[in-house]
Amino acid sequence: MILAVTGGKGGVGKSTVAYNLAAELDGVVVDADLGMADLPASRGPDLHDVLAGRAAPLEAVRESGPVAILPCGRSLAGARAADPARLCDAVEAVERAYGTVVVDCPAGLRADAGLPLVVASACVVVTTPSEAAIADAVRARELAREFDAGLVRVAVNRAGSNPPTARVADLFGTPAVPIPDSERLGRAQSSGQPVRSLAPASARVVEQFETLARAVQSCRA
Amino acid sequence: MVSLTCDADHRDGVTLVTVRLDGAGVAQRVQLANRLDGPVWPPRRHGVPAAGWTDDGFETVVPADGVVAVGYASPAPPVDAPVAVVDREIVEEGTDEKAATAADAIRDLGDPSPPRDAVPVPVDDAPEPAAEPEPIDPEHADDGTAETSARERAGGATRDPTPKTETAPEPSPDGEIPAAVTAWLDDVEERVATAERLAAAETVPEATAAMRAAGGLEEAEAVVERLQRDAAALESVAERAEELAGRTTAADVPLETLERLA
Repeated sequence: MILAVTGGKGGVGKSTVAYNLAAELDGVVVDADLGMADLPASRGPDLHDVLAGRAAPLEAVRESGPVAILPCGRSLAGARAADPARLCDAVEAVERAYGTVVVDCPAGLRADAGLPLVVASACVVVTTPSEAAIADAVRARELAREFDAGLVRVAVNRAGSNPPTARVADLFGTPAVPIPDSERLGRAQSSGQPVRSLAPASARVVEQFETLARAVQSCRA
Repeated sequence: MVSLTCDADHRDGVTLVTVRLDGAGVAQRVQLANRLDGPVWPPRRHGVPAAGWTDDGFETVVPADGVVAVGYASPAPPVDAPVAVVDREIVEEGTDEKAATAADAIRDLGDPSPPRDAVPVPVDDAPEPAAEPEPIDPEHADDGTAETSARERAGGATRDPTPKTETAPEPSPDGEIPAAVTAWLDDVEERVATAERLAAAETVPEATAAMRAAGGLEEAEAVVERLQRDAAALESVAERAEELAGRTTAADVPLETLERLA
C-alpha cells in the first residue's frame, strides 16, 4: 500500500512520523519534499534524479540504514530539473518492489503536496496542538479527500500534557493519536534512527507509533 | 446527434479555432480531431494541457441538453472545417468520473518547481568564466542539471544542444561571436597576413625574409592554396550571415499572442 503522511503546515513532524511509521510497517519512506528535503540522504541517485529520468526509482532506494529510504536531493537546480508528474509512477514502482511505501509529503497545498495523495490509497494527517497547525491540517485533509486518499488517523505530535485529542477527533471525524514530547524521538530522528532503536519498547512514544501502524495495517486488510 | 459548429481565425501567424458542441437530448462522449495541417496548441493551466486534450484532439462529454465550448490554437493556416468529430458514444450522465491523475493535480494546484531565476548559475558555466575552472561540486556533477539551466539562461542565440566536452566550443555571452568562429577567423587572418607579406616583398632580401617567416616555399604554397579555399568559405559565410541578419530583424514573433495562448 501507499500511505501519504501529510499535514499542511511545515515543522509539525511529518518527516518524523513518516520515518517511524515506515519503520513500524517495514516499508520504504519516500522523501517527497522536492524543494526542502528533510530525511537523511547519502551519496547516490535521489528522487530528483528519478523525476528527471536519470535514475530508476529502485536504484535510488537506500537499504543500508535502519529504514529503507528514497531520499530527495537538496539543490534548487535538481528540484527544477525534476518533473513532479513522474512522482506517481516512481512511488508505484517502489510499492511494487517493496509492498509498503510511506510518502513524506511537503508542507503547503500545491501540486507537490497533492501528487502523493493522488497515488496514495490512505493518509495520516500530522498536526501539533496549535490552532494554526490544526487549521492547516484541516486544509490538508480536504486536499486528501479531493484525491481520494482516505484518512486513517490524525497524529497530534508534541502533544503536551493535555492533548486536544477529543476535539481533533471530532473535527476530523477520525481517531487522533497523540505522540508525546520526547527527547529520544528528536535525538533518534536527527541521528537517522527510528525511535524504537533508542527507546524501550514500553516507552509511550514507541507504543503510539505502534498504534498508528496498527491502524494503517487494518486499512490494508 | 451532437451538432458541431467550428470556426478558424488567423491572427499574427496563429490560427485560433473555436468549437461549439450542442447536446442532442442524450449525453454523448465525443472525440474531436484537429484537421489543420499542424500541431494542436491546447489551452493550458499551470503549464499542463486542460483536461481532455491530447496531441491531436479533444475528448469530452456533451450533456444531453448542454453546450460545450472549446478552443485551441495552431501555427497551421486556417481551413474551412478545422475540426471533425471522429468518434461518439452515448454515456450515462454522472458516470464519467475518472480517478485523479498526476496531470490533474498539477493543473489544479500548480507546478511546484522553483522558478528558473531562483536556480543559481554554476560558476564554470557563468558568462565570464574564471581563468581557472572551478573544481566541480560532486553534487552538481551527479545531478547534471546545472548545465541545462545555465544553457536555458544563456538565450537562444548561443544555445548549444550538443553535450559539452573538452573540445566543444564554449557558449558565448549574448551578442558576442562564438569562440569557434573567432578562432577560425583569426587563423584565416594569419594566413592572409603571411600572403600579404609575401606579396609586398619587392627586394630579394625582403622576399627571403618573408619566405622564411612563412616557413619555406612549400609552406608558402600551402598557404596560398589554403587561402583560395578560405576565400570561398568567407564569401559563403558572409552571404549566409547577411541573409540571417536580414531575417533576424524582419522576424516579428507575436510574443504577446503566444503568451496569452500559453
